[in-house]
Amino acid sequence: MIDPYYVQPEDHLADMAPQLERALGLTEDDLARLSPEARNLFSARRHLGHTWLDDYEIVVEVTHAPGGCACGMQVGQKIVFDMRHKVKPDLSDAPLCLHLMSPVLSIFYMTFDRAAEGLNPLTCIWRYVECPVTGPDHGAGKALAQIHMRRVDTLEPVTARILTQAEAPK
Amino acid sequence: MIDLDTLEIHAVVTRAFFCANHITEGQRFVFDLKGRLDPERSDANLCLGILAKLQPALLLAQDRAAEGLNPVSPRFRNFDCFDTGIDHGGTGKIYVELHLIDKATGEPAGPVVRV
Repeated sequence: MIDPYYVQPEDHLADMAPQLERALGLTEDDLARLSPEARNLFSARRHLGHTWLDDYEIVVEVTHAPGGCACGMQVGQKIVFDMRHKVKPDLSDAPLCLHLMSPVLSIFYMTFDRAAEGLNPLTCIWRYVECPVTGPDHGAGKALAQIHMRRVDTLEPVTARILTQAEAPK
Repeated sequence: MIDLDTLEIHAVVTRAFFCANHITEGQRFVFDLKGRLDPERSDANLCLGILAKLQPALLLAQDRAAEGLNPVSPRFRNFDCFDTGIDHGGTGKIYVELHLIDKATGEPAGPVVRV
């Protein structure tokens, strides 16, 4: 028994098939091949709207960079991602350090999971990341960053647990 | 001693299917040896799903360089993204192969061996 909230076995996402075919090249046969978990992933469009992936972005802002970081991160610099976890280099002013960016992927997995639950995609818990490179100084020189989600159009942070009509994509 | 500033690592896409970020075969990600991505010289969309998978490889590259070895390990040079693909519970997938490139020439760097 699958909870009625989630995508049911016979539900092959026909309501969003045109969008998924355009975006991913998935045919009807491909949609039928998708696992229930992958269909739940796409069902987030039903809860947050078809354009939710384009309406928000994730900002990773460096809050602590005491020196010793070989990649040159500075406090206040940002790395901006779209909701498909792609870096937006034009909006980013920090070096695109792979070490600091890597832990952010976990947060993106949470965004997809939370969106499928109809929640604000950004986790309420894991909003801080740090460079995983520690060194003999026990990490005293590593860069730390804080994460928030904002609207693409207004750049306003989005903090509500359940996105209101005003915040939810049209 | 290897001058790391003269080298870079290119992750070249060798296969891709149903990638939500529209990454295609032949595109590449360009990194310096410190682990910084060069967005100007990368022609693939900068998807964290594959980039994060490469972070250990860049640490490995630094370790090998410190030993005077070719930073790209012959054993760990092929990677795929975190999506498990349409037949294994996911959707799409891409694969990359790492190459050590001479920054000045853009050509594959010669063998780097311990001196």
